[in-house]
Amino acid sequence: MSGRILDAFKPFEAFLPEVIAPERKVPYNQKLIWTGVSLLIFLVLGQIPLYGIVSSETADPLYWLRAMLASNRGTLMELGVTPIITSSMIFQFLQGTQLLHVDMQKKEDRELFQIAQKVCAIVLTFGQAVVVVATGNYGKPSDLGLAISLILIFQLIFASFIVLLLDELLSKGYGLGSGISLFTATNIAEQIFWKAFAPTTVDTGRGVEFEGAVIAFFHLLAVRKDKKRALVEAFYRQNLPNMFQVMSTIFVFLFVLYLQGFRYEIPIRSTNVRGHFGSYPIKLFYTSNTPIMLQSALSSNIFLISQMLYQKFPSNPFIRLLGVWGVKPGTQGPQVALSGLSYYIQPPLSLKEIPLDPIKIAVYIAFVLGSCAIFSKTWIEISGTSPRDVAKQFKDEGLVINGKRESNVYKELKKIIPTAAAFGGATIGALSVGSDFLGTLGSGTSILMATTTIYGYYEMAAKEGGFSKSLVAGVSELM
Amino acid sequence: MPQNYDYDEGSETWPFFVLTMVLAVLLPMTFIQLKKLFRNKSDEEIELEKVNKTDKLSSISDLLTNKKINKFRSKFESKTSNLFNWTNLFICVGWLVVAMLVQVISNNDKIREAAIGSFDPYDLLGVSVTASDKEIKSAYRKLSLKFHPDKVAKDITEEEKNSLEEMYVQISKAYEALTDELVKQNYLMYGHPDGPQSQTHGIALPSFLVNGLVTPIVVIFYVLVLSLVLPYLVSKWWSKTQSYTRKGIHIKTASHFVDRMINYKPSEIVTVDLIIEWLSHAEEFKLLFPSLNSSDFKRLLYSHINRTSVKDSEEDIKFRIVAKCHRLLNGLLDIACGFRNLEIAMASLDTFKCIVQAIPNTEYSEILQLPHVDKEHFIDNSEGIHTLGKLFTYSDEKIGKILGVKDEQQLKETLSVASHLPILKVIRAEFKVPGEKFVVTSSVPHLNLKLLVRSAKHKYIPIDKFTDELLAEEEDFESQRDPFAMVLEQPLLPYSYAPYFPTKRVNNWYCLVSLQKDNKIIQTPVPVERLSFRNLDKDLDKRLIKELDDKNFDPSEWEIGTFKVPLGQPAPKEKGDAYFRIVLKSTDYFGSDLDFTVEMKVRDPVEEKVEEVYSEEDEDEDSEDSEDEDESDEEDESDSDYTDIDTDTEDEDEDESNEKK
Repeated sequence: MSGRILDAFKPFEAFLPEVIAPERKVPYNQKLIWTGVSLLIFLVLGQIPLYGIVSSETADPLYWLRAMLASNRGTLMELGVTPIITSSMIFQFLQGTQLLHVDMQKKEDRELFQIAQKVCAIVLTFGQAVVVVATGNYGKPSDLGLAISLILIFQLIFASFIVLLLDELLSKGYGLGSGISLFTATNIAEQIFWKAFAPTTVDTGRGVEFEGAVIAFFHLLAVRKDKKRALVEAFYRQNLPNMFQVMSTIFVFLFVLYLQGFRYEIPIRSTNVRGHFGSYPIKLFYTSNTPIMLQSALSSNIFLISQMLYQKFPSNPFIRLLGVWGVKPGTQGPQVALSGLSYYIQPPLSLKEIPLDPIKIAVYIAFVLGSCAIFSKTWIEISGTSPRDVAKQFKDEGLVINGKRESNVYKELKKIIPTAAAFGGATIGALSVGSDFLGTLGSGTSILMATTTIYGYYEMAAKEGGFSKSLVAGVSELM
Repeated sequence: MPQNYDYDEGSETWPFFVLTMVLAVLLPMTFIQLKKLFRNKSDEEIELEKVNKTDKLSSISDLLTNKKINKFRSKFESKTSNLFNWTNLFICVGWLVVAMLVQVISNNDKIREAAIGSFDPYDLLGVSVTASDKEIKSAYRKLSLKFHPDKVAKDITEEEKNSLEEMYVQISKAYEALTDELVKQNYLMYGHPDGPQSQTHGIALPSFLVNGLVTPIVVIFYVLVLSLVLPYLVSKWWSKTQSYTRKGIHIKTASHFVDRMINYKPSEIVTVDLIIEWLSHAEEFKLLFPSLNSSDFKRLLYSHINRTSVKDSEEDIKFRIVAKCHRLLNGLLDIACGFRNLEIAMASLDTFKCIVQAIPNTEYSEILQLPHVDKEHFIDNSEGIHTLGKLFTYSDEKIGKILGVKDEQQLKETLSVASHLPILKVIRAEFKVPGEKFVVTSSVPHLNLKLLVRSAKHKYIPIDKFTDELLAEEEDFESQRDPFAMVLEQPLLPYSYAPYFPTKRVNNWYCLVSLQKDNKIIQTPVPVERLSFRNLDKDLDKRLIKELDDKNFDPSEWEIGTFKVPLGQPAPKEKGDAYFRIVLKSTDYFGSDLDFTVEMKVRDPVEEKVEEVYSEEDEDEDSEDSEDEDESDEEDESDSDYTDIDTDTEDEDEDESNEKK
């Protein structure tokens, strides 16, 4: 019966544009170029403003999601990778929970699955584009007029379509890794670099100040007479990105890279091919950054709903329980939750908050760590990396744990994998909380995501032989 | 987000922006360069240097290298000098720019004004930042006495009066900012005692970039960079990576070799001459010297091999093309192995030696590669001596006479080279499968060679002197997983004795594995890059020692080299015997090659241990249905490489979207 759901998507096959998978393995150099070109297109899309916007000055309800979804306000990338992520999450979930039976061994089923995912993504794109325009994100629809509204919707759909195809291009083997993680990581990296090196200046009354932390550091040291205070200011200024944040960002980045190397290696041997020994690494970050992504998706959605409801019904007690929103007194920053459930699961804005409201901090930490661990444990079941799945994979490939009986593989894996997953998830959560406390540039989650993605690319490049060791320069040139 | 940005009118900010960007690149770069200057060399270079310091051959080679070659070498090695290169030039220019920017900043009045103009209560009151409330108070009292409108002298002008009043207001504000809680809060938060001031946003770009005449230039610059320079650079890089093969030879050269190989008649005898003929058509030579044609290159290559002199103007050309031969021959060897042609592979390695030692491939080559040998004299008096081993049956004086070396010092050098040329002896050669006692069906065996590096001078050492304990290898999991790791623990090979080759060389042995039955190569050549040459310094002169005994020979003191060749394909599925011809050919020296046969006995695995595992299966609560365990010989794993059975989880949960695949 489940086949029927998938089969319903079959008629679409003829109409959907598709990237044809490469016939031969694409060489590394070529992959690099494809990846670079796609990235360039994506970045350009993220800079082209939408035509027909009256204003985008209204409060940004998607503020919490922007980094995760690689979206840029008021540009063609308004939707970012949202439709793709959402659609693939939905199908992942359907498949993992066995609501949708897909036989991944069958080519036909796999193709149908992809088509269904794509159709869903396109439908979501359309829906989201309409919602974004209709909710008056770019000015009231009545002011814009029907024509402009339609043009806006068309632009958004068109841009999302390009991203969809770019992602397909990359993940079908022309590029390195998947498009989504690449775009997200790039977006985050871009934001971090902007905060560190932004050439924009602000003058609030005590002279011109740079927005970029590193530039401000030099600028303040040169301009201020009292060098000691200038230094303190460069490191700890509250209103703009400061050097301390830059430092802690670098620290978190390096620390995550260090933790990436933590792994438990299960010695394995092949029964099909004798004399073939190897190891199956079970990483500390077994589920990579998925738990933190799920966790942030969860809290972002709560924020989004709560914020929207609060704006409509600011006095309803239940909605106030979910979250009271407003600009934090004394700042011009974005809207933040001031009380309610949202307040407790919202990352602290600075270290200063800890003594002010220790209960909130405790709740927050418990929430993040707990949800990350749970998500991580659940994720291995859904994504097909649970002990049972891995044991099956071992069996299919004729691998056994060295020095252990063949039938013990499952038992052995059961001992290790769930522990690694839960612990790894909690570690990722702790790291995210830690970096939020340190006050990194951009949220802890986004830095973790960027770092794990970048590390993934590094590994991929190393595997594909991107780093060829050069000979002694002079000699190699001649010979 | 503000919609309007002010541009930097008074050059207040953009120098800082540029300064930071320059420094962000410059500082790490400078640091790395400095580190390089102090550390000088990479680990590998240090290791190579260490090996070469103790090596006699390379020092003699250096000694005998003639001036022209040394000049040529130094010309090309100076290119990578530590002090003068592009990176350092870039760093110097960068620091110059930094100095200029600092100059601009310190000379800019606006910046100074801004610094003075900004509100600083401590400065206004003339107290230190750490001053207590009391000090602040007394300072304020003093100053207010001085500047209070009522207290000032009457006889001043209106203007002065106003400025004094202004001063007084500032002082009172400063005092408030430091004492009044609310005002202090405002000052700390917004930088001004009156609370938030109107914010202006700017961008640190000089205003002349957007106003006036420069604008079109900026736009044109953008267009140029994005639509011309960028695509040009990418396409240039692209065509460069496309026009060279993986082995680093030009595509055209490679296709020429392939063409020759396809049209190669089996009846044709492969000689060094044929290979040189092929080489002379290389595209690389034409690219280097477009004015010359292939017959010129051929002539030059022959003049190198025959050690005949060429015109001075052609000397450099000769060196350049000879140096290039290294890469070309490697490429040819690779292509020949792709065609499974053992003959051509061996001939190209012979050509390699001829070019490195600059002597033709004759029966006398092994002796002629020694320094100072008088060619005519030796060929006339050779007395049937073709090998170094035979040469060393004679006394030193006699050797001098045979070779026509008259000078005492020269003879010493000749003998020292002759006795230090490495000669390989196989102690044991077998196919091994990690974790198994013998080669089982469908396993992944590797060829394990135990080699003794010896000198031609040494007394013959019977293989059985080396006991099994000396040859044993570790059998733990790590060494089973990566049986090739121990090969890498041996020292690197030193520079070769090659005084006629334009660059310094390191000798390699290429291991060619071919099937005995059809004499075809079965996989790509594997070079021996690490082997200890310590045995060559041992004095076990066969002219002095009559009999090997415990006193003059201790096998544990001799280094036994290990070399392992991963086989490109798994053992056959059925049991049976296969014979392989293994050829180890040196790239640089004549007379140090090996050619032998190794048998691979493939047997069915002993099932005892495995059966036991399956029989006890029922005890486990594991619900996995492993009954239908088939010992099938799926070969999907077989062609993967040896390092890791990589079933990495990272790719799978990197992102949900990956699962779409």
